[in-house]
Amino acid sequence: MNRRRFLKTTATLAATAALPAFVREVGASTPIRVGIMLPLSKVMTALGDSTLSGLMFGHKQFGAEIDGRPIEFFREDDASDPSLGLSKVRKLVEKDNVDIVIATVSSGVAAAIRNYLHDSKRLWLNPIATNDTLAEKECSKYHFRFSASGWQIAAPLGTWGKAKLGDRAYVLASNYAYGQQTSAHFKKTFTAAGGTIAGEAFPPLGTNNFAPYFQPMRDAKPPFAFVNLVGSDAVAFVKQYAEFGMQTIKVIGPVNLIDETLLPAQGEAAVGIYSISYYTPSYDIPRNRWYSKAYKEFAPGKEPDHFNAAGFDLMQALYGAVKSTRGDVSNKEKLIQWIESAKLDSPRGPLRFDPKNHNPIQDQHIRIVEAKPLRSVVVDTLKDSTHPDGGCKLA
Amino acid sequence: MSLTSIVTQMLMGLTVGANLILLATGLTLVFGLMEIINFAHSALFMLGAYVGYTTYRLSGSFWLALLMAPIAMALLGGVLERFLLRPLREKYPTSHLLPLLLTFGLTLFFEGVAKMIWSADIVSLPKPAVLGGVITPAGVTLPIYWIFALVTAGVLVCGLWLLVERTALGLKIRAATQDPTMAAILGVDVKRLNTAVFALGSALAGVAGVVLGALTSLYPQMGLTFVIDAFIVIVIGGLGSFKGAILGSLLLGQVQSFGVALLPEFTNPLVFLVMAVILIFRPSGIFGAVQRRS
Repeated sequence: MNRRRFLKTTATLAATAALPAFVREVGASTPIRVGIMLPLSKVMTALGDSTLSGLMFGHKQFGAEIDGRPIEFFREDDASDPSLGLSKVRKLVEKDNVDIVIATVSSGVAAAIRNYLHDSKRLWLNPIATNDTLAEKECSKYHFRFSASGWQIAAPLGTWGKAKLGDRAYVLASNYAYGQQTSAHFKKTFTAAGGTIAGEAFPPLGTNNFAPYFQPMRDAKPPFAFVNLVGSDAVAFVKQYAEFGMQTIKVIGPVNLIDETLLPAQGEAAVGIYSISYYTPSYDIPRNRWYSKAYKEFAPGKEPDHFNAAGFDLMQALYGAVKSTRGDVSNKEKLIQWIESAKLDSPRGPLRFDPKNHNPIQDQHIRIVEAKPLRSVVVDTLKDSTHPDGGCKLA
Repeated sequence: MSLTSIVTQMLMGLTVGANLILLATGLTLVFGLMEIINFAHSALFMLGAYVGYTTYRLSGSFWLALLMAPIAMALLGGVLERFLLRPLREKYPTSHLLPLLLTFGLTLFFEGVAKMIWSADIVSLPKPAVLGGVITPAGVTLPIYWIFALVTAGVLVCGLWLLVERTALGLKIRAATQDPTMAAILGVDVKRLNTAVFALGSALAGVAGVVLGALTSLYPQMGLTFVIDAFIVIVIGGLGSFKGAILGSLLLGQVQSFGVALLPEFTNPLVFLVMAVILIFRPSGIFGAVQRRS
């Protein structure tokens, strides 16, 4: 490259880089810039895809513009990789100049981007990531979660399991942060209620063959087991658990063990398994009947699940908050105030946010998988599930 | 541990080992002849599973799926070897890195292709009804399909052994594995042999894809977790050694199975500990070949 060409290229680049800042000055008709970062490749792709679909469904429902300002999305793929996620979020904030960041599914990525988003004072709407710490020491006033904390999808099972399934329980969970933390929550509430742990196993993430885990589980003779596995591990476990005739030991776990993205692959083997979730597609309330129908029309061949439902709720909150500022998205305090006081009409039931930690307060469903049609149905509802105080100071 | 528990853990370890054999044999066959660490094995495994899945969806026959997957993968493997690997290796005959990078790149490429064709959703390949159900010899629960997976691994091992040790083709493979230059001078068409062996390795990946796919589930990255274990196996057994791959698979299966029962907190490190100990005493693996002349 000669010098003239170099200068020309540099000048063009500089002009392009300056463009967003300049456009922002123009005012009312300039777009509201929203960053979306989800895992759209690698192991969590299916989860990221469904979340994105729910976001886009919300976008279609609530309109392309807010007070005459179009919404412009900048989409990034974090591939559920923490360091990649951090650099993608930096790009969204520094290059694309977004005011609102929607991210993400992986807890690891959420932990990695927390400090950066907090310091750069961008409104962070978190559709799925379940890190407890985001509702505790690492909470941020800019962050709102639309799924549930790890505590909310594990701890209630200890109390419920002791009351309904038996005094002894086996614990089997993937050997990484999410599996370990949720197991600890379960064990704490279960033993506090008077139950004893019959044994435990922590298979590595990506286990395909669970056969070696079954005999130790049988030998422990528990009436039920708390199982927390995700994705393909959950499919392999559920299929093999049924093949090896393990059904005398009941299984209970967080929604990810048998969620709607996995149920078709698990098939009949999943029948009888209990789970807990903030959203159940078969939950019979008017808002959910509407959601199921409208979502299926929006995304033919896809089913409502807790990923797209969380994405939809996130969009409800985003539109509501931005409308309250009449499109002035730089007014972060007002955006936050609106969401803090919002009562969202969600397909999951009533949804609001804890002003102490911005974690959702919602009903959690205990469900069981039925055979025909193959789906989870609600057997019990735990009202107003709230993440316990964990030392969060919103700032 | 009761006797039933010990027998059960041994049998379960055997099933884990058999699963690994299905993958490790193809991997080690290719390495033995071509000295290529074939990352694309995981992609061929995954594509084999999906070809089986689509065949099943269209025909309703598991057995047809089990037939189509290796055929399709052999063709694909042959094409990859002939038109990508061979030119690369001819241009850079001394590089081990470039074929590795090529096969790694192919893996990423095929994962993307699979996501476009079959989406990222996790799907299941149903087992044939004949292979449903369980038998319970001496109180040990054994699903019939798992016995089928074991038998398949056994049949493949015997077939490959016969091929390598008892046929003219096998003689050429052994000759070219030991010294490709001398084999070529003596009239063995080493190039065609490479293509054939790569296609054979790919066909094995296809069989493994269908058999293990029905045991677990299908998704575009499914190859990765299986193949990492298979790599550990062939490192333990000795890169390129057929016996080593089998022994390594069986050993790793038992280590994992008894690790789960006896040292649940330590299962994962245990695998690598065993690997480290073996490599300290046998740096090229249990049956590792003596360093070959270049």
